[in-house]
Amino acid sequence: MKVSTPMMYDIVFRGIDRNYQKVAKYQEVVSSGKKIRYISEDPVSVSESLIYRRDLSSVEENMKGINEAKSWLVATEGALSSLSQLLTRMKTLAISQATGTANEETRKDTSYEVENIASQIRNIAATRIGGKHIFSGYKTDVAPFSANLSNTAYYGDSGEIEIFIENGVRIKKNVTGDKVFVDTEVLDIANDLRDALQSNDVSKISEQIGRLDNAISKISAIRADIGARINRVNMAYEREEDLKKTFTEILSNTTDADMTEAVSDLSLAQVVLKATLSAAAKSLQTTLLDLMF
Amino acid sequence: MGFGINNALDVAKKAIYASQLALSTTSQNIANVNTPGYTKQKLILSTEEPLNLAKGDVGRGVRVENVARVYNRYLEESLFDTVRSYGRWKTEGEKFKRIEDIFDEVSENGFSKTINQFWESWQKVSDDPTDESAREVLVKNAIFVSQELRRIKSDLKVISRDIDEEIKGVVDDVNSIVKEIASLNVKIVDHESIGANANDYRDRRDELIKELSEKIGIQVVKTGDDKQVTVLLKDTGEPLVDAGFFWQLSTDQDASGNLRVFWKDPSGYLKDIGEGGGGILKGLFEVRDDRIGSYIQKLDNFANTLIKEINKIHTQGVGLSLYDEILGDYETKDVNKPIGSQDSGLPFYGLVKDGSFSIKVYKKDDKSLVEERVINISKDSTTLSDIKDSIDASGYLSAEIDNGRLKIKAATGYEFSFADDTSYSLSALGINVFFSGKDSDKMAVSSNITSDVSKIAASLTPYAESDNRNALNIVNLREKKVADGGKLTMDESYRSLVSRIGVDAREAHRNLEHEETIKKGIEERIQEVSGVSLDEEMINLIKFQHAFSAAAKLIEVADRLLEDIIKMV
Repeated sequence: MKVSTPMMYDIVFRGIDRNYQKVAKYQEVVSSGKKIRYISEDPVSVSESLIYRRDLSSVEENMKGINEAKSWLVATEGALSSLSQLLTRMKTLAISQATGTANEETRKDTSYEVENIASQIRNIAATRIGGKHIFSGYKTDVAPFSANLSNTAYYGDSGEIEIFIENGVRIKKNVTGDKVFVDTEVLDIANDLRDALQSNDVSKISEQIGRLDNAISKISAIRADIGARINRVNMAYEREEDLKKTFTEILSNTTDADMTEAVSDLSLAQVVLKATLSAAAKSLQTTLLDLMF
Repeated sequence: MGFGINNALDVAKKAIYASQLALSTTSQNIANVNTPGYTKQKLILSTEEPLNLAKGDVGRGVRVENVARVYNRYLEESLFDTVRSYGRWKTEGEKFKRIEDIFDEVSENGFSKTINQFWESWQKVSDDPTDESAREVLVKNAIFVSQELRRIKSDLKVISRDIDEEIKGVVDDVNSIVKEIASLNVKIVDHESIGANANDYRDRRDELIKELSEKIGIQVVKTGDDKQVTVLLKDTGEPLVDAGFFWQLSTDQDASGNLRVFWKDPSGYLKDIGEGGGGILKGLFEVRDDRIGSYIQKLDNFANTLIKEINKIHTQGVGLSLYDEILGDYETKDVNKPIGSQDSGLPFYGLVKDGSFSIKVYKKDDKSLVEERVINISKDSTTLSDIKDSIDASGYLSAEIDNGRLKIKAATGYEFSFADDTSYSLSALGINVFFSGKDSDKMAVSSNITSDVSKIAASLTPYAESDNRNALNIVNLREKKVADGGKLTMDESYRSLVSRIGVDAREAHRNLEHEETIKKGIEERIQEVSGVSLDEEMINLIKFQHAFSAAAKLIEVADRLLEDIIKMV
């Protein structure tokens, strides 16, 4: 193949240009820390990285939801536990005052304690988290029950508040006051027991024992449900933590450059460039012109 | 006898003449070693017709036929074709780099981050609808979404406008090249009519044809003994150059504001030449119309779907506070046309279905429900006028139409909310909506919301501050396949746009690499044939110098012989 003079220069120049471009490209990788600069360099991995980035950022949000749900569920569990204790206490009192060892006087004394318990039940019902009543359904700005013991009306609603804890997964963070206090009849039971003790009505006192058993077992069931939800929330938290690690790693593999490799590629490219420049200088020097005249 | 010496002198004279011409050709080559498009020239020599004598043929020396270009026309022609594809893909490649920069998704600061934050703020609001700062953040992120979409569309449009300017530039270049080719046709015919080769003109004309070929799709036909070229538009066949005549191109905007290129006939007839059949022009049109045009459409579809789907859910809900009054975000052009028909002028008329919606009126002081007004909607017949009358008939509400928009007001001491919109008319009228606008240009957060974040309808029932069901529904929307005709989720739809751009760009870069390699290959082969090698010319220099010296010596000797003869006489 005959080489014309312009072609000679062109070949030499193109070689140099190619190597400059390689150096520039590795320079870009080292300074940006990313494998590529343009979407077109690897459209598939860019598309995938969008998915992982979305998943990673929603993990943060999910974890916030998990914490919110957990704090409500834990507060609810605490309230229900206190409620259980109060119910058990009332049952013990009812049993003892229904026997022959009690009398009108002991019953009257006990009635004050039961009235006290009734108020404590109202307090538990009014439990708040971050200023919100946890037993009022959606109407968290309103106390579910009045402090007035003779008023057993429920002022909340039947709203079960759901919250996202994982992508596409929701959990109820509350239990409504009507389930806990109305269906179980605890407010009525407390009032009735107090009245029965006050009026020395033994049969009525005995009546409350069965009702209390009922209430206690209903509350137990609710507590079991809350416990299960707390477990779910804990597991969700662990899953999200794992996902966070996984996505961070995958994202890094997909988009981040291996810095050691990039730096060594850059060094090599610089060496090659230098060699090319040096070879070019030599090959461009000699023509027949130099040797003939 | 004297004849022999005379002949020798004659031959020597021709030899000197030939050598001088050869030296001049060599110096022309040397001088033009770096001239682009220069083809090496060569002296064509042959022997003169011999004299036929009885004793045999006697040579009469060297004859200069011509100075010719060393030139392979088939290589040149394939170069013209290759350069057309090269021009197209180079243009597309350059434009794609700019398009890719707009979508900044490699650096993680692109639109995908903005839209992620938008969806997450809805989730945050659903976590606690009473959290006012979460609402503020949601509005802020929603505004970012609409700003980003607007920016991307306008950045793409800027590239389109730049392309229009380039198209004009290409047309100007084509016009001046075509003029010059025509004049070269004439010059070459004139020059070669006196016998010599118009090598330099031919080189110039080939260079111009190559330039032209890079810009637009042409077909070149050699005519008139190869002295002239006729240049035609490749796809449509209109002539650009024929002998000394030339035609021009012009540009003009079409109905949608896009620049188009026309071929002009002297009678004034204009023909739209489409994408120009190849070259840079085709690259420019492809990027502007097929690529950017379709990306903008996808973007607008995305905005339209987001606005529509979010509003369809949002209009079903209730905020932390109820309305004293509300003005719709969309205006109808004719209050007497059914809101479900295109004639209404409502951008989302297509959403309207047969159904109804309720307005619930509450007394402020005790939050009691005083009226539930159900407005029935028939998509083909209910007009805005009808709706207004229907609402106005309420004892607690008044309704009017303000510049094509519905305005509803409650009597003092009362407030209202909406529910159960099975007809989606609230979305069409812009009442209780989250977004206003219909595409990337005009998308915005409704002013009802920006002026009062408590109006973000996270709940389904009024006066229930922790009711987050509507917000939950919106969070769910993210996973629903509502985009691209119901085939993709919103996220998938945006990702597919990014993918599409990446793939289109990669195709352009790869095609460019491919064409570049081919072009280089052909150029090298042309150089091989027609390129000047200084070393070769140096050798020629020596060659002809020796020939010249020998011929001069011949004259000296012949001269002395002649002198001797003359002395004898």
